[in-house]
Amino acid sequence: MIEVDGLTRRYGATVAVRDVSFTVGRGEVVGFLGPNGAGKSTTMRILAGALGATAGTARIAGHDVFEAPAEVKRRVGYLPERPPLYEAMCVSDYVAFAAKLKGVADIAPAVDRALSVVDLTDVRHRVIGHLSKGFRQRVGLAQALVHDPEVLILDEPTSGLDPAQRVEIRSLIRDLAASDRTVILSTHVLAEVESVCQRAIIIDNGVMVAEDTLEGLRSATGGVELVVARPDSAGAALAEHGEVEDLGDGRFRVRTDGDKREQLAASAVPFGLLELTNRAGLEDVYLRLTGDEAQA
Amino acid sequence: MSGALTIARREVGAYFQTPVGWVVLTAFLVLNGFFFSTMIGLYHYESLQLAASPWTTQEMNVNDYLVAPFFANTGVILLFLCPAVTMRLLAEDRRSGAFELLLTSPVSSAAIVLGKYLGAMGFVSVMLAGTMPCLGIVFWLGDPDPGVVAAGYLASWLLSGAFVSVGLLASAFTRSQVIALVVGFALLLLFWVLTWADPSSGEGVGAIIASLSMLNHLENLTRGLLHVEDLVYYASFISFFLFATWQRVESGRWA
Repeated sequence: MIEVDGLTRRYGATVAVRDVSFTVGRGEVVGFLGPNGAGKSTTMRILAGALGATAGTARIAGHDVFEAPAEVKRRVGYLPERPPLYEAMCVSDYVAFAAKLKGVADIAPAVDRALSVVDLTDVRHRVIGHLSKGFRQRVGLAQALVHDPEVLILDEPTSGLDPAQRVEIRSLIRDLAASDRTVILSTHVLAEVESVCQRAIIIDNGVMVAEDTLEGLRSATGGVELVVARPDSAGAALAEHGEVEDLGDGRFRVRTDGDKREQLAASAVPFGLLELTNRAGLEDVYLRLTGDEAQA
Repeated sequence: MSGALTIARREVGAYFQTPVGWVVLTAFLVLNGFFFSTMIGLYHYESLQLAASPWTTQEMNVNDYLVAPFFANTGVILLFLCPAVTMRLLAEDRRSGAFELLLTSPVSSAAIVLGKYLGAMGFVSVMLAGTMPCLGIVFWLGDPDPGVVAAGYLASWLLSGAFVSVGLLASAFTRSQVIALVVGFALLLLFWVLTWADPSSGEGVGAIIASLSMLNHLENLTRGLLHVEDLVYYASFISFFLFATWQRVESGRWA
């Protein structure tokens, strides 16, 4: 459904996105992970047709984003980090305006459906500027959904929301994902990816550093990390339980099948076990891949 | 084209959803009404004075003494108020982030620019329509030439079209409405007074400056004289600024 190949975007001398390539299949929900300024929004804006690319290609549903932008835009619903709202308009007028812009033939039913999906029917006559941030986010989602797009691109959809609103929006995205839509969701909230996505793409400093299923990411870069006082032959002892990587200064990472922390601890004690940390969470994977571990 | 009309309709509605639209409309009508009432008073006073000299009253007529100055005054008021009409068109959308909706919808940059332009022109047309009662009074009191009145409205509309095209370009370069207002007004004032420079610019340059001046192409129209060169001037002027705005919006995707 989405094919990105060698996408590069420069702003003057600054490279925001460098040679990013990935594919997303129909009906997949993919998390786009990375720290602030990593290039997530730039990549998403390029896919949504708001921005050109310096190099590379991007195709959505077989249409080139740069050569057939109108075809792509008819198939894509995009929610930027800041919802693109006209605050003086009332909710239903705004969504109807978005529907007309997107070439929807039957406006009224499309507006009703979009408002119903995001649960805004009760506030449809309210002025957008008078709504809470959570409701505004829903209005932004309604405009992204009103033309019933095959692909949804959501840039930090829960950014700035309170915990209750986050849970609501996440649940909404989960419902949307269940209706066979392809969803790309950018965030730096890992719980969001774990609760909604099947796969994650991790980007850092404009470069894609990983792309895999959540399980794949955990097993590729996760494991148990141990620090021992006397490394000597600790590596060999730990190797009985799994694949060992020597990280230096007495630090080892062991990838195991299943939870073998107890056995690893027993093997490491003779070498002066100082620390044992389970690094199997997505957060650890993320911190390791984006190089934020030291700051975390 | 349907995308442009959708944007234009929303823009016209937006003027009446925010105080700016109502303030500009009210200011325009109040100023226009004030100038008109003083002109009527002056016309009445001069008529009484000239009544003693029957041969001079032959030269006084409502077309030259009321209708033409009325549209000239309207032009000056529009010069001041059109930048306030256009300042938010693109600047506010970019500041609020609403521009992303337009950029990611299946409408071209040209349609976005055209839609914004037509929307502002729709509002300016409402402003101009609001002056009709003044002309209604002239028709009630005297016998103006309907052709001169129609040409006056055409002149005001073309002038507004030129003002709006300049203001739209100013609005495309910034996210600040205040900057768009100031830059738009400065550019318009420059085109308005361009003719002041022609006597000191030598024959060739002077002629070019004179041909670029808005005032030089307005005079015939407000007197009811339709010259092709004036119509071509305004059409070219508007097209140039719309093209520049389109290029600015399009380049924004790639800059």
